[in-house]
Amino acid sequence: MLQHITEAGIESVSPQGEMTIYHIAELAQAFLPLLATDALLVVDLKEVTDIDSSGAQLLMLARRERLQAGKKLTLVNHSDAVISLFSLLGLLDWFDDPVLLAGDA
Amino acid sequence: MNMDAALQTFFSESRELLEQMESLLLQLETLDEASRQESLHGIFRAAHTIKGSAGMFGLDDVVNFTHAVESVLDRLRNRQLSVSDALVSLLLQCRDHIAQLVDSAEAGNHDSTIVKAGQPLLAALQSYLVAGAAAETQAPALPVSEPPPFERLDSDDVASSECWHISIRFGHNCFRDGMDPLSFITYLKHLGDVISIIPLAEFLPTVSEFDSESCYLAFGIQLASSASKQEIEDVFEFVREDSILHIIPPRSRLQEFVDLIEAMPQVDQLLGQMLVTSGALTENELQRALQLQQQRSSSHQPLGEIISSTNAGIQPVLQAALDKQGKVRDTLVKEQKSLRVDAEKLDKLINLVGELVTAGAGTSLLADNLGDSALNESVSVLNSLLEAVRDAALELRMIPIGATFSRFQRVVRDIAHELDKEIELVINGAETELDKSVIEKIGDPLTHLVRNAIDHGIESPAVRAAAGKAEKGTIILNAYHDSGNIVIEVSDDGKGLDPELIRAKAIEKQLVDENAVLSREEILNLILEPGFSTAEKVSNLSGRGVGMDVVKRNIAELRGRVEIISQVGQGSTMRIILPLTLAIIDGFVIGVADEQFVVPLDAVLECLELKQQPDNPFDAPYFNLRGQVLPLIYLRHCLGVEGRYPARQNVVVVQSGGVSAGLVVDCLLGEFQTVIKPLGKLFSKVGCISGSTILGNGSVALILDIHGLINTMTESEPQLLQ
Repeated sequence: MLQHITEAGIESVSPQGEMTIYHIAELAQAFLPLLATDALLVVDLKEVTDIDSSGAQLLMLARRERLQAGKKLTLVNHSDAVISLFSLLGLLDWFDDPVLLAGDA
Repeated sequence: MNMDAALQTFFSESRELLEQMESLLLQLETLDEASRQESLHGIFRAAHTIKGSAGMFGLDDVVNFTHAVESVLDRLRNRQLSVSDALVSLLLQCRDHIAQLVDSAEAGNHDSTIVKAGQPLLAALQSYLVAGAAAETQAPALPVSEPPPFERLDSDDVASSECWHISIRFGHNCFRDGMDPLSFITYLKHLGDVISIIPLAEFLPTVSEFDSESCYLAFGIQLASSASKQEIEDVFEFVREDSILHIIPPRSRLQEFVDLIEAMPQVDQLLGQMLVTSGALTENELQRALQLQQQRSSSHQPLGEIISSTNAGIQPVLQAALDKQGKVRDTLVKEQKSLRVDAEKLDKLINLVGELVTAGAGTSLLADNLGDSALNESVSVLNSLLEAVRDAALELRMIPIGATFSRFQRVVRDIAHELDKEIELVINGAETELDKSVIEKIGDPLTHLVRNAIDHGIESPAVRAAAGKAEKGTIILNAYHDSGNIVIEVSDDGKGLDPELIRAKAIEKQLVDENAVLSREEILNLILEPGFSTAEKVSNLSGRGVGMDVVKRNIAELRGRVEIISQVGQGSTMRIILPLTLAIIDGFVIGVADEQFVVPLDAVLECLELKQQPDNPFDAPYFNLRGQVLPLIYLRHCLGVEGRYPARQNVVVVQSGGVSAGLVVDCLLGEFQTVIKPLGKLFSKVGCISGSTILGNGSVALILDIHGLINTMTESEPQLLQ
């Protein structure tokens, strides 16, 4: 569901598999408490095989929450599913994280 | 979406805006600089809203013409033009033309003659645009047969978007209902190109309140598409119910952005964000403004000011955004101030209240008969509530006459100009409330009277000066309530009506016989006869012999009457006296033999016992009321009621139009809420009766018209009342 590694002051979270409405409640339960961390929070999206609007919404909430607390939340390694959803919903600009497009080095 | 209903709203709102425009225009010259600027903004906004909404409905005639007007107004408010008498007059004419266009649009015909009638106005407007604009070197003269070149892109109010602007906030249950906002947005691509999509995070709750299975998403979408609004709306069909969806057509005008901002949820937002979200400002423009703000961070200039300086065109939207922000921050969500209600619904309510009052009176009568004190008490509480409901219901229809009166500022101004007279209009009693239906019907007769006063009443400045009067004439509009009547007066300080002249004219027109003996009042009333006109020459305003008789007829239709008071050289007053046409009044029930009558309570001053004293012989025509002579009207005789005399008679002192009289009746039966049922046409000539009502016990009582009654008596025995 959610892999969670803490190293060198960086909390790294990588959701596994589907970030869809079917799993979102479970995922949110695991993920939201991590938002309180003082460390740099990085969400690695490379293992996300499928994502829908509810998944995007969870990430939006996380980003906003961290910003309001004056902390960072970085999205990295967007998978193809994530990129496709983000671009459809205009979220690439909204999150404003650097995105590596598939095929790029 | 029901376009017809929206269109109706457009028509009625346009009329309101046009009225607003007129009154603002009329004030314009008298205002100081600051409030003038404010008025100019108001006028501009009115024109602008009309243009914008007309555009939505594809009323191109209205849009084209209003656009030209708006351009001139824009120059005015930007101080590129100065306010002048001629310009105000031109704008007033333009306003009238817009009103005509709107009327013709409502009638559903595209009348090219009306459009053509606007050409000279357009040409005149163009001269203001050209004269003021040195930069605009090419200002081609307008070809008369062509509609004016209307270049939407030139207009500063068109925000850069030439796309549909869709704003959608999905319902909370969207996910649970098995729908993903994504699919709608993907589907939208079938209709056209999604130029931009901006997710809005404003509605995301705090983490503690967040339910990951609820949907809090909202998007602002720019769609370049040739699809119809309906088609776009249909995309969201399945989520339509819970979602909040706004679709703004391409080339949308600022007003729509304003509406959108006003419809935003009550969430505190950044100003720039609101403007970008509404589509009034592009992201780029916002960025530029924000940069500017940072550069000037020392001065702490608010973003709003910067935006208004860099994007002057969006001023109204900006204002709306600021207002909205202020409102939200006050967290005072005020109720809407007014509500449009179908007049029919009001009539129905008032009818029902009328029935309720009658039923209430019946109940209280029954309770009285039973003599149960608890029941009586409860009935009296019920009745006082009924009274309150009645008054509240009637008040719904009451509107102050002020709006009608102030319309005459324009009439007076225009006609005085045309006739080279100087006239000031003074308005008194603008707050006097009348039934809406009466106000609607009183407009035309009043216009006639005001025109007559200007045309025939007020003399030219030279004549006035020679007569030792101020050069500037005065017309006074006055309204007040008088013993249950509503009195509206149009007075002028002009030359007054000359009875000799009127008499001579009437004889010439064969309206009266040469030898007829007429009182002064009767002579003055001749001017109300059809086919009468004393004007030596016929002007295009009045003097054609139609008018005064129409006034009389219109007023008579409202069951009112016209009185004329005039002094040669001093001026005249036309007094319109309207009965309370309201459906329900407070009445006072009196009994004569077996009959009961209702007197409007407002007309009753006091009640006394008629004592048989040496100085009060039986059936004396007068009564000694504390040393004053009070003429008596014996209802028994006057109305021909048969029956036994009671042991004691009572006097009800009534007053109407400044004249008091005593009604001699058998018994006093107290107050009664009276639902007026008009009498049939057959009885319209009966002077003393103004209607009938049904009493609590189901019997019918006639309502006495006090003024008519006094008049009838005066006619038969004139010496009594003098």
